[in-house]
Amino acid sequence: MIHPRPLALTALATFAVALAGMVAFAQLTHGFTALTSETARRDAAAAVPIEVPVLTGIDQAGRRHALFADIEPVRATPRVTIVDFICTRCVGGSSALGGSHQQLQAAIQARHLEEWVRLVTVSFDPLHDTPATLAQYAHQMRADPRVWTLMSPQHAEQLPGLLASFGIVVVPAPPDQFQHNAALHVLDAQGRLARIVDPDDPLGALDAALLLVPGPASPRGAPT
Amino acid sequence: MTHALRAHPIAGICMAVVVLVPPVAPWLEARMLGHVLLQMPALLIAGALVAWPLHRIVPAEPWNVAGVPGLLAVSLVLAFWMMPIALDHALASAGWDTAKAVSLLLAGAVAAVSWRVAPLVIQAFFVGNVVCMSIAIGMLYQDDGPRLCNAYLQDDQGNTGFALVMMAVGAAGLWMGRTAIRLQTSPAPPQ
Repeated sequence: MIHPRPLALTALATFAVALAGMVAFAQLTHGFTALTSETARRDAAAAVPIEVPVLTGIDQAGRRHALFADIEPVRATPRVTIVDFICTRCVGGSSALGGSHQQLQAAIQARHLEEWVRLVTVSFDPLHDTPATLAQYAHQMRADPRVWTLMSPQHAEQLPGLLASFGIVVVPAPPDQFQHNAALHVLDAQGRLARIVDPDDPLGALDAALLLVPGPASPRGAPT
Repeated sequence: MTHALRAHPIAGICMAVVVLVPPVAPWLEARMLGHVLLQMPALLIAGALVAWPLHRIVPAEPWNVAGVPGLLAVSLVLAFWMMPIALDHALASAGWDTAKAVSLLLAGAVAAVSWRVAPLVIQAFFVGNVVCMSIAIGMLYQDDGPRLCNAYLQDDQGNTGFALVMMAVGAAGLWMGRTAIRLQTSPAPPQ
């Protein structure tokens, strides 16, 4: 015969364990909204724009750029940027992103949004993706330099910090490949990461970008 | 304490050390399969081996009657570390990795102490719960949808899912077989 007191204390302990479990799961999943770190990073960027560090590199035309903080100081109105990270020798995620950026470029040209939105592709594989390789890739992709900048990072040591701030994890995938959490990253006019969109939804990324265009001259609601 | 009882904790400590320090730890954690189905179960078993002789020192009453809160805590810890976001955190931060090791070792210890005082019906509930949860998560891993862990490859995730389902089914079969034999050999099980 078990006394009522141990039973009550055991019930109390069970309740405490259940409560602690609930709190732990709520913390882990950001209030039961994110089972994966990919969802968590998208939610975090959408909630509060994330500052990202500077990355210097060479574009397909051989010009030096410093992304993303000094967004085009020569322009009167800085553009919103849609960024993706690729390696040109990778199939899968990276080639899907290439297609998405091509679609985005076509949409930007067709809707005359060049003044508001630009595209940037950064290689996370600068050893292989030299400026020359990237220039050739840009040519293959028919990248319009007024819209689409393809960057080969100049200082490889800047990359880990940049990828970490974007929440991108690159995993070596034998043979001679990489897998990464491919996505379209929308940076606001201040160069902060504000939205992350699925790579197969380029028009969704464009809509998100247009919502971030500052000022009265914004193209929102312009006929498409 | 007899010789056999002393051997358990030593084996447990050795096991924990081996799977937590280089070169074995990075090798296990490099793949999802090694992380979820080798390192994590090894930590659980290590904790259980260390705590196995302690059931006389740690009484079930008054806080752990029938092992209910203990086994509940164990199943919650297991579920926690099967979440893809928890795996990514454990790989990205040393603090999370330490929390993983400590919580799984403790879960193993609590499981050992609680299992011995749990009646058959509580054991059955616990096994059923953990097995169903593992099968559900294993099927989620095998789902051909997006990659769940940013740190692991898609194929690895699928293999881990399949192996997790197999392991859960195996564990359920083992427990049912053992229980059936025990019930046959002792016609009046103490309930």
